[in-house]
Amino acid sequence: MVQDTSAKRSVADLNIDDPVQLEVTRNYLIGTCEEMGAAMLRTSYSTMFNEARDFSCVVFDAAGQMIAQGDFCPAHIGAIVHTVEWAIKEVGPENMHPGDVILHNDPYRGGCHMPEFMTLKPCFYKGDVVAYAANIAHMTDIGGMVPAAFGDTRNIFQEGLRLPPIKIYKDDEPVEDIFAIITSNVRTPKVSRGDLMAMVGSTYLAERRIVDLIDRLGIDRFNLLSEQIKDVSEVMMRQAIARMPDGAYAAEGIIEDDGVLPDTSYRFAAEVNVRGDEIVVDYTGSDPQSAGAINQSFGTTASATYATIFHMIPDDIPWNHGAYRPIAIVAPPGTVVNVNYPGSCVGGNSDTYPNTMDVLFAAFSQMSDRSQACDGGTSGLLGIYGTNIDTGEPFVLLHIEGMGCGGRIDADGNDAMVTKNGNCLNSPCEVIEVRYPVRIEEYSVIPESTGPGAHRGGFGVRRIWRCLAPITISAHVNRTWFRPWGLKGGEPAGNAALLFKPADSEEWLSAKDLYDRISAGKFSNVELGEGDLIMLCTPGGGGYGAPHERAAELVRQDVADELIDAQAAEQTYGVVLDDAGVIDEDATRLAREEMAHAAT
Amino acid sequence: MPQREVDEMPRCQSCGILIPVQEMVKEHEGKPVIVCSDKCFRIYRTYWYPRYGQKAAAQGGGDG
Repeated sequence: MVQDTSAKRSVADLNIDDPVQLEVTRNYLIGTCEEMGAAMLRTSYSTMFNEARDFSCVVFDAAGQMIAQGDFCPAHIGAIVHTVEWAIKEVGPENMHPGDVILHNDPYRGGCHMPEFMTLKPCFYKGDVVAYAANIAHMTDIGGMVPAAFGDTRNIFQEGLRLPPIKIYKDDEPVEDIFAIITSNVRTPKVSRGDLMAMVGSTYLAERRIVDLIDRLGIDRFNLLSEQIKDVSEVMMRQAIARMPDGAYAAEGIIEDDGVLPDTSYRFAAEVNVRGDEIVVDYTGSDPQSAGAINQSFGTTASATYATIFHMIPDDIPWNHGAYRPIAIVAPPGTVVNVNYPGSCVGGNSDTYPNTMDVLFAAFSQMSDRSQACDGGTSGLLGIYGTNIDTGEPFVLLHIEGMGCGGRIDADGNDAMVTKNGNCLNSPCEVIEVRYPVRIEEYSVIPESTGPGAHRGGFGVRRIWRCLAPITISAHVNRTWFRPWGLKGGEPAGNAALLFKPADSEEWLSAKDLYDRISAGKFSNVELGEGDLIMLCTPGGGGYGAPHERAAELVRQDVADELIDAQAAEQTYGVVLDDAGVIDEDATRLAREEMAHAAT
Repeated sequence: MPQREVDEMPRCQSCGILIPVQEMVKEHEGKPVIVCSDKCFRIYRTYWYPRYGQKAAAQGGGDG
């Protein structure tokens, strides 16, 4: 039963008979998703899951439409609406049986990129499928030419193992043939199997919770509430969009290279069309797909679109299928936003995605102050492969680093945060040092990384690693020369850097200069020895608003916190401090009047 | 469960997504249009074709 809500103008028009029960049910389902996540944290093997939390748990109704999501990764949650829909259609509900679990990671089939494995469990009640529980999670290694997948791959085959929707569980038993194929093709078979079992376990937990709920409500009531959950979100979303001014708002940005073709950047174009109570985001004009891994699948582009629009909307709208209904996407095939087979796209979901969001934020900034300046926009991905010194076991670490977020109208950008599509955590230095043969010799904020503004961008970070044993390193890092832009008079931020200092050297050099790679930020399989150093610096966020309009007290506090020095306070922000660090009001007023005049 | 290879799948002429199974074949301006959903068919008629359709037809194409 699918209701047409397009004629409904308010939630009142939906005639919700029991709004309290609706809210309780909605939050029960969200709680189920969060509980799936808790199970993942406690039962998974890799730091990608139990430290970085790079997974998302979602519940769908019998029609394969999302009815609940937890507070996880936007990158997953936006794509999964397509991933699940197509998995259900391709397998066929008539071919699903109690005890089945489906596995799928194909980016061309609505997925985001291949490391994101999705386990999907049809939830049965008295013999019928009544819901689906899904867990989409980033497997650290998927085989392929690059440990942890991120580098300079040129096609999908180099990335690793691609799985269309297949059953890995039947009649509540693992399909060992499928597990054998997977574990035979990855570098960390024990960890990968353990992670997959954790994912499967979380879907079983969700099924139990859903069955409990239906035992209490009855199936008819559950189905009605599921429809109401979606319809309420759709109405609220349409109301929010209708408050935006109609029009077409265009912007573009670049990804600086793909790791394959030297000195070649790629253009991403987006036009946000607000048409009454719906939005059409059109990516026509984006460059043809690249030779490397920076392409986005359709699922990734759709996800970036949804995530940005949800950022622009007041956050009291429940995020489920209903909220997605008023959003349409045009993504021309064979472009960087909709890669054709067999193009590589592993980097698309991690680093290109925030770039796409920044382009959309730039478009939205033309009609809304709720937008933000450009983020650091890279996860600073380092894939590190080697052998554990103590156990002799192989390991693969995919390190995700924080960067600075763009300044906003009402706040500075967040510091040292994993990109906005990830919502992940990086691993603590102590955990890294215990589990892998490295020592973190520095982990600090980079003061000069921020983009100045009335609200400055967040700070990027510097992390220096010392290898305690031979390792192989691959990387997918953006913005090594492109600087995140400011907005509405804010200034650009500092860019990223990935440098190496061999044990017998005193000089920091890039992979281009030291290891003859095409790109300083995107490369595969560099061999490092014991004592070699790695330095990763991530970008800051762009500033929002003119620096001379920043509250003088905030500038004084930044100086007191040693985030900027007194000279920068005066030259960039026009705030003059005396030797005691106290604001000289008269000198500051004069300096800022000069700056304002120069800016006009 | 029969599956098509990705290079055998059609794409929605509105949004561009690959369609593994159950594509919809609609008609617009006397020509067949492949879409993934009724929503995309509406977007095709009201947005994509007025903006790009005639140019695409003149170039001998028509895909979204």
